[in-house]
Amino acid sequence: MNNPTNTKVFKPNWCLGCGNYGIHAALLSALKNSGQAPEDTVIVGGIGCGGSLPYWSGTYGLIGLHGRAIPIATGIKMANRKLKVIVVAGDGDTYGIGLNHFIHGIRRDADIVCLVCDNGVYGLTKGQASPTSPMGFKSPSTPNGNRLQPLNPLALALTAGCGFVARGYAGNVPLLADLIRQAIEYPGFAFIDVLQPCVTYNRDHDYAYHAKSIIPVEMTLDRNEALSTVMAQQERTPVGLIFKADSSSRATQADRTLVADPGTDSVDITKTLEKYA
Amino acid sequence: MKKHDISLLIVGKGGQGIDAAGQILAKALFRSGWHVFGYAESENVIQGGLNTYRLRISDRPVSAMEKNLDFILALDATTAASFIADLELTGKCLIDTEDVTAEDGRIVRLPMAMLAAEAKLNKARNIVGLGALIRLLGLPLEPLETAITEKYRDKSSEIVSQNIQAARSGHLSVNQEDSAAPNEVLRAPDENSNLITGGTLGALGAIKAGCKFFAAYPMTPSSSILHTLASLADEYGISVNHVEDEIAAINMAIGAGFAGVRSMTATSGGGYALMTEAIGLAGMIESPVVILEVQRPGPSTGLPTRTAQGDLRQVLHAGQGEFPHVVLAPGTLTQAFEDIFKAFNIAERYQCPVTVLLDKYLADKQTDVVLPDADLKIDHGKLLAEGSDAQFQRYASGEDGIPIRSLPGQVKGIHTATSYEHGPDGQPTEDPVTVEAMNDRRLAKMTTLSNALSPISLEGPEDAAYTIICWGSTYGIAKEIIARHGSLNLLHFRHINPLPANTKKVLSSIRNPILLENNATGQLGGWLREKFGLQTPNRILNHSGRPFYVDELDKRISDILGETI
Repeated sequence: MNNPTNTKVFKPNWCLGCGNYGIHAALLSALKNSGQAPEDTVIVGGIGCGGSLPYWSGTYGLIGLHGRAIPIATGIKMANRKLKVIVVAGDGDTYGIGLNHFIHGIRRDADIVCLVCDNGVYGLTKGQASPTSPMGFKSPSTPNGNRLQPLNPLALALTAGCGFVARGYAGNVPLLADLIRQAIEYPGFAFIDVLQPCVTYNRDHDYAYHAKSIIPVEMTLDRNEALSTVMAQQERTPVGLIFKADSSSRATQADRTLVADPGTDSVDITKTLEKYA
Repeated sequence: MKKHDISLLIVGKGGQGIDAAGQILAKALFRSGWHVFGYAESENVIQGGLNTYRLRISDRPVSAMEKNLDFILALDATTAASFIADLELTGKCLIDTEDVTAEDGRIVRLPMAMLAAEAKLNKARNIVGLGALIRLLGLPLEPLETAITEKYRDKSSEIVSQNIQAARSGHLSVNQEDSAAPNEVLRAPDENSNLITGGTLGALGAIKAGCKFFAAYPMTPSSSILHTLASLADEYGISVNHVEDEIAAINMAIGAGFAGVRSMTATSGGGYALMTEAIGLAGMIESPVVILEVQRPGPSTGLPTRTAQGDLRQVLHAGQGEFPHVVLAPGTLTQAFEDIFKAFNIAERYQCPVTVLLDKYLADKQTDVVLPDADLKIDHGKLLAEGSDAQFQRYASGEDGIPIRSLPGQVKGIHTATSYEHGPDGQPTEDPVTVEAMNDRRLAKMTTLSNALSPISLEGPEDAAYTIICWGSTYGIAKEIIARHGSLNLLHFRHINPLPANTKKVLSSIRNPILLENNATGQLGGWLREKFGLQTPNRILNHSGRPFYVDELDKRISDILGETI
């Protein structure tokens, strides 16, 4: 059974030192701090190392298909608006194969949290370059160095209209836990790109590298200012809540959300049939 | 002249109101007590292509179309030319005076453009034609006027009266003596009868079943399901979502099903191809989802606005690996309604994906239907009881192999549903014994369902020398054919996977099968050969993108039976 308090059961298959330990700890802490009941929480995992997190969460979980965590999570949330739904998927999953859903998920703006474990590499398939790998990155699929420009997921989210855009770091659990708590409380699609060392396949970007490169960022309510921040060419990577829309000014989510209620009576369609009489 | 069985064609270019005219005429004749079969077809362009509306009316229920025509209403001479060959010797073709060049006693000149202009509505040429057509049929104008009013009353009273004037002037412009028409109103219309398309009825089947979540990406000819559900979303409290692609559509539907809401998606063959990985996900996590596949001819983009039964094999083999996946193929509008309703019960009872195969022909054809007053009950299958104290294992084997399902929100039901192979507790496993046991348990659900299905049975004379074997939408056509031949009976497959448990027995009683399919390779024939070794040397396969016509098919059947018509 899923039970995080039972340490015998908590046996992740992550490498020693993997950033997912920090993300896991931060997520569980945020859920606890926001008073979220485990039975009313669904964690939707992608396919990748981080996607296994639901097994050890003590909540409901659904580990679906590579790239498709966002539509699955959106369906769950729309079917039962009482649930808190959290996506945990990787950079290859979200910015590669599933990028379409990332953009349209933001447009749909269901009240879900989207955590992207961004280690700049495909870990579970043994180290190929990902959409956030830097130019020149050497990997089994790019032996002469990556020739594709890395994506800027935060700029992408901001321009797609995301109302909650943050960057966290797996090596700073208290900061990440606080970001996740705020994302849980935000009423809409809340996105956190989580910098995460892959100790096996992306050794350049280890804890020491991240510790030196990250700087805290001031939150802004101005989307253009946030965009300038994330687009700026700088030595150091801003971490924290970067942009939050003034939620009172946000349009109500257009899609109908439901409360699951398995009734047993078939629905009366007489009125509609009368139109065809 | 078949006095009480008449085939009509309205033909013209896209934008001339062919479909609108067909809808109005079908409604007027339906209201007058005729049984009606209407079918609109168009070329895959928005304006200017060849558009047709075929209508067959009879004093008996009609379940197919004839190629030969008794009446043609031609709004455009060039597009009409190819259909004149199908016009009966006693038939009549209404055509605009200016358009007529050839001399043919069957041609009735009607100044549609001029009369429409007189009615101050140039585009009402189609309505002028309808008025004249009603006169040729010897039927009263009043039901047509009512149908016109209903069609245009949302626009303006001016448009309604202009159209009615157009119909009246058309009516006055031809002589009834021109035709040997039925000249009577057959019977009082059936109060419980509806004139409706298969697609609309399918959408209503889903609503009736309590479907509350629908996600789809537009794809002809499935989009009518999306449009119907979107138009009824507010009334029935359904979340209807036009999403970014078919992959998102089915994954959202699976998510909604996991959360405990009845959910569905609809697409055509191309979109279904994109959905197949997720169909396997639903099979693996044992979550209910219903998929409507409205077939059109492939391969690839194929013929978007035409019909085919070419996707059976795609559907049967959707997804990698082996998992339970139920495939239903209703044959009539009523069956489409019932099977889509039933699909939701099967999906929950057996916790697996269910695909309902329709096609353009079944989804778009319009007939008068009396829905059976059937006792349609919703069955959610095994759900974890509230307050249950037992240690819950989501994927534990019940006595029939079907586990108990819990829904998020239930304290005792917490689990992770995973696409990785897993043990009874839902945690991943690679243990070979558990892996085989989990696969066997999931697949056994198909055997359980096969035994629970109503037995398949032959229709028509039991000892017939020849048996038509068909599936899905060709049912109505086959039924009309067997009624014409004493040496012919019919085996229609509505449940294709699993097949009903008595299928082998019934097949062994058949002497000479005739395979009838709207595809090139005989896909059901292959499936039956694989399962039961059935050989089908007699095959009537149509992969022209058009449905079968009864009269044409009858000739091919007679050739096989060695009969002369």
